[in-house]
Amino acid sequence: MFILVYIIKALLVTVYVLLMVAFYTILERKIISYMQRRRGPNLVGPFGLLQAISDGLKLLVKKTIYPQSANVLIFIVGPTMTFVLSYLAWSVIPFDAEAVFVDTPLSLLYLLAFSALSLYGLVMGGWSSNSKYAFFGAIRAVAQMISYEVSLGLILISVVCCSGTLNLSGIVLSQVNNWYLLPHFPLFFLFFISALAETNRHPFDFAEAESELVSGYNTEYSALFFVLFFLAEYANMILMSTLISLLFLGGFLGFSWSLSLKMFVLMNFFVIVRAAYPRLRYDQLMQFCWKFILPFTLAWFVLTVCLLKLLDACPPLNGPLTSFVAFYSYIDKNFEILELSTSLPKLWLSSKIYFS
Amino acid sequence: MAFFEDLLFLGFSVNLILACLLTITAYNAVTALMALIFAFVNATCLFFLMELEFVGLLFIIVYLGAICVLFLFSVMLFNLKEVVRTKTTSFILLNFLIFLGITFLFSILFQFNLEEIIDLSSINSSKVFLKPNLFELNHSNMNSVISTPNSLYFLGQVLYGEYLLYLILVGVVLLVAMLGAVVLINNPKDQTQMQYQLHQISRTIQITKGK
Repeated sequence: MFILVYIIKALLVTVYVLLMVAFYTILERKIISYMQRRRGPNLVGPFGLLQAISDGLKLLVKKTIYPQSANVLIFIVGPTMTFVLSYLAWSVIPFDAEAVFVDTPLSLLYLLAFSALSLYGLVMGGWSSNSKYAFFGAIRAVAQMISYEVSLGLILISVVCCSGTLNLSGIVLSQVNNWYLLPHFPLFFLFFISALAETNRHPFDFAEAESELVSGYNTEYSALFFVLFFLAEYANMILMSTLISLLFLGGFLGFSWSLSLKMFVLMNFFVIVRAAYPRLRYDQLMQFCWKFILPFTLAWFVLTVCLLKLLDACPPLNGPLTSFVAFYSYIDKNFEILELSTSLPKLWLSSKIYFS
Repeated sequence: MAFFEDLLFLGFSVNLILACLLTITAYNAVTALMALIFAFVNATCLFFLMELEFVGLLFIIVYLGAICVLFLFSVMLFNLKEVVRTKTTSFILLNFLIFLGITFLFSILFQFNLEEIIDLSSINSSKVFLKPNLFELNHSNMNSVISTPNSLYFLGQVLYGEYLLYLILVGVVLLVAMLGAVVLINNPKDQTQMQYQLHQISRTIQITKGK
């Protein structure tokens, strides 16, 4: 029975994300077409809403082609791994105060670990295709993602210092009085730019620069495995916009569908940036990461920590979550001991005590 | 449930050993690296079984997210055919024997209680940490010792409390290593093409007489 409930929960999250991806592709095509003063897809279904489903069906029915000199095992494992990891990352995202699939104290680190592992899918796909275009696309994608992961991590540290916890629900609950958008305003922008680079999106889409590399790491892929790469990319974009709204925009705090609204706005920004800006040059991308974002976020981190210490505003250890409260009493008797409970509405009240 | 955990432990450790074996005996360098990645993932799973979540995640983020990717980079940019030619059968056999020897040595070592061999009381400087006999690597024992309080908090206490100076020293050593690498590859005579935006913008326009 326990396993059945688990499976149903997992299916709910997966289907939810898959549907979001499907309609996100239509949203993207529609917005871009309106920005370019054309109509976009409008034939399949009302307003072209079923276009994504027909595209997906077409791709699934087509025949999968394996290049003759490809390493077939790695060729298959690559996209599968990318797909699975990008959907696993959704397991730690809190959709509401109690709607989390897996609530662990280290959920932010889980996200970083998943994004670190999903690199290998791209590398495997690019290398095993045995094509120079795919190979260079994979190498570019990985170099870019590694560099921007560093700045992404540094931005996260500043936020974590303010909330005192690595748990995503904890970070959201610590924003009851004040969204982190206000104190960390520059970080919000830098995080958005890093997210663009991390998901290999325009204007940083060097991994699949059509003018140079045909289609990058998925040049040799067709049918089902191309779909896997495609779904993973879009799921990652939605994940990034969710993460931004959780970290900086107060997540699910507020009215019932506020998280969806914030996600929607950020997802629109992803598309608008794609339609508005041309592709940068590769060295510009790297310079921007290592010579601007990295020093700036480092300085911001030092500033944040100093201010927290000077204003005596350090958050309680492990934030508003009480799962470690027993440990406080073990280390230091002076800590306020709350009753151990896992229901988050109670914690919400307790976090108000901390942060008011 | 305990039986299930033991089964998982057995599976992950067998996987780990097999992956390590494949890493040192594979002809193809990329296959070896894939095996190494698999070994790291299994090691992470073992850490998770010991409820050392933080260490396991660090394993993934640091070793898989940074170091293995760089290995993979350098290996993929090699001319693989030449690398394969240097790996002869005898070489791989030697690797295999060394692996067996080391595994045997460690399996013997962990049979004994290392606390009796190494006097722990002399290095027991930390009051919070290291109280339990860490060297007794029985996995159920580790479980009860470290997972009760938060391992992340423990690590913070030890690293930034007791060993703060050593941590800073290690940081300086790493900085020196990084600077050394930069000095080694940096050739000032190298004519690299750089773009200077200010120079470009402040250039005066020279209109040539056309036609």
